[in-house]
Amino acid sequence: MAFTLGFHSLFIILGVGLSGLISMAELIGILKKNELFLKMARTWSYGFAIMFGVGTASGTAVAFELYLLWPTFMSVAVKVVALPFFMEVVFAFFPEAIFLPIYYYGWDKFRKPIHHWLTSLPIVFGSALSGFFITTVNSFMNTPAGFSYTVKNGAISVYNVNPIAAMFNPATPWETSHVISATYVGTAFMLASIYAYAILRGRKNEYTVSAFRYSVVAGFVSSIFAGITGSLSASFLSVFQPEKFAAMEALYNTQSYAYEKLFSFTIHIRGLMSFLAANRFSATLTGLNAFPRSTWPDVLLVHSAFDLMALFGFYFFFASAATIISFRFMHSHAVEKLSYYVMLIAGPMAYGTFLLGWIVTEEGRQPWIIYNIMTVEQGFTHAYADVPELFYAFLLFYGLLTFLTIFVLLRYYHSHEIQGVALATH
Amino acid sequence: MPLTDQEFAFMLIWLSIFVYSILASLDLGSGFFYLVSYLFPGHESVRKAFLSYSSARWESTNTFFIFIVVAGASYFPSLAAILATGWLIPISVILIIFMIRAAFLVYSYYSPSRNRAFLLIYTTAGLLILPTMSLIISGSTLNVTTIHMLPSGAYSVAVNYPLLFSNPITYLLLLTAFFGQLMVSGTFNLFYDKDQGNRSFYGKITRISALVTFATLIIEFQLYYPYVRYVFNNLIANVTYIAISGVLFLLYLILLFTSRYGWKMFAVLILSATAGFLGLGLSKFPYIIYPAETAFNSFTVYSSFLLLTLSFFAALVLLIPSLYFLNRMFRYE
Repeated sequence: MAFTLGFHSLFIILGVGLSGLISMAELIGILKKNELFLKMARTWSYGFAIMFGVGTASGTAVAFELYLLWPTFMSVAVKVVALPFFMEVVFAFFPEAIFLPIYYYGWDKFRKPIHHWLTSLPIVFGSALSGFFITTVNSFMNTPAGFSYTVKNGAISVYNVNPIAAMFNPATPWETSHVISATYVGTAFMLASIYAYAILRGRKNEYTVSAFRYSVVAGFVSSIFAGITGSLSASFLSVFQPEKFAAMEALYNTQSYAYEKLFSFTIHIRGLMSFLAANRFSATLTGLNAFPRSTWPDVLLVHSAFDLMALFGFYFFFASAATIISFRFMHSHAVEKLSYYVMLIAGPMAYGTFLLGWIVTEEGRQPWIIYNIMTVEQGFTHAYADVPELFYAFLLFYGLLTFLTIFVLLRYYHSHEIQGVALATH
Repeated sequence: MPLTDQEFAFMLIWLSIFVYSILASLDLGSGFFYLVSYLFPGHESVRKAFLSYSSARWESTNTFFIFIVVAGASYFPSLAAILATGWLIPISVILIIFMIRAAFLVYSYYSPSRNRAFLLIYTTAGLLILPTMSLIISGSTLNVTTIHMLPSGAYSVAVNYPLLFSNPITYLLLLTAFFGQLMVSGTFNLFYDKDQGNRSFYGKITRISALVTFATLIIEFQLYYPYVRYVFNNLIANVTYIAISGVLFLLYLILLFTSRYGWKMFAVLILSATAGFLGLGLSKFPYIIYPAETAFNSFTVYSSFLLLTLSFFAALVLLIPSLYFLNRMFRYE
């Protein structure tokens, strides 16, 4: 399951982040009358259409897989958090599916370019909303709210359901803002990485360089947002999900003036962790010893995933800042080349960071699937012995499809030096 | 007649299935015409009509399918669990065909050279989607599913596939779905495609499909009595809808065989299908999956029902103008 979702997250990152970058590029292109930006928007919109076409179909498969593997969990979840799923379809997928062809085939159909740009807005908001709605389900798993329940013979039955409260649970603002900004970080650095690769391979021209610079700037801005929201999320966790926080920080004993730990090194600034989490050096943070051992997550995994994620986040921030400075103020060929290499690795790192964040939030909640209410063990399927084989068949199929999609995408960009082929007129 | 919450949700989803099957027929059924025109030269402009319709609309059609799945699971929470466990095999087959169709359609649109193989794959896959989905409809209507609730709150669902596949209704519905999609898309193309030369090409296939569809529907109606008595009794109780549907269908056949093609013929067909679907839906109520799963025992909590319905209507306010805009932009050129 985690594996499929990990795969699917590539679609999520690009599905949410790319639409915004396309729209922004088109707007800059129109306002500054810059053909290069228009070309960027146009080129990327083709890629976006391919991703969306394959992504919607595979997303349905993911939804069914949820039911298949987590029947008990879903039986509670669909009663309480059906609303965000439903709203995702009617308020996010439909506008996207309707306006994507309008945007995509409409490049030359509008008299004023700005009207064409306006049709991108439902896609941008739709995709951000879909990221929002789906993340509220995850934040519900982290801080369940909006229902009462009774347990009888191990079966959970829910009542007093308030879907709005469930959707806007305590973790919602922190988690959704962090996830959405992270998709922008991911997309921007993946694009920067692709153009860095093209430039290093000798395809350096006005277009590739400005696309590269645009992605780096977008990456810089969004990494600031991701950093702020990430830090707020961590502070939030230290209060609302102390086990997860303690595991992220490898904090075994409850203490004030806690030292920050980076992997296994302790940073010798007294109370730094307390300060980061609660803005006071003297703040007392709950350690793992406050909880029974059976409810501890895998500390080593969560802690290293968290630190690696944070480290990569700093890398994005500083590397993109340095790249911007080097392009703006230092006109040195060597420095420029170095920044291409620096950004080349940022793309895969950005994808990795997204997955690391996923590991932190999911593994950090173990053994719970709904925090303090249902364990993963209880939520998992028991009844069907034949699940694994079918599951692997699905996985194989899914992998093949992803592979083929990337292959077609590459072929497409290789054979077309995009001249704005309107496909409707094939 | 005021609807109860359960009736409302049931009919909302049933009518969504109807709308989807019409939209999907337009998209998928046209694939058949496209394919035939590809294999037998002489009708190149058929491809143009197909692309001009499908390329801008297949995404929203697909999204409609996702809507049905999600709306079904939202209003009737246990439904999804049952489909994803007991009905796992047909559902997986549908999903895989569905994904193949979407993916290869995309590949074929964007891959400059290997068009031929991709085209063959996605049109064939597309034609299989509705017939495979009809298995779910027949399976949920016939008495082939046993459902037990486990103490953990999960369901244990068993489907008697030999029984399902030994019932003639299953096969008749398969035929109805297959030829129905050709009939609907053929009728639509008869007025959508402005190329006069293609008329006879569509006309032939559409006439055959309409006759086969009509025949299967008549036989099904006869077979409901011996095989699914409860549906038959309810159909008789709702005979007004069935009668309206039948009369309109005959009118449609007259228009079709006298070559009076046009939007009116398509409208008559859609009205006939709407009446028929309404009648069948009312006859199926309250059984979502006969006999254990009903609209009452699987219904969601009231607060969820209210908010789902509210957001549905709020979304309609946004979506109807958007769809109008989409259709205005992509009229046949």
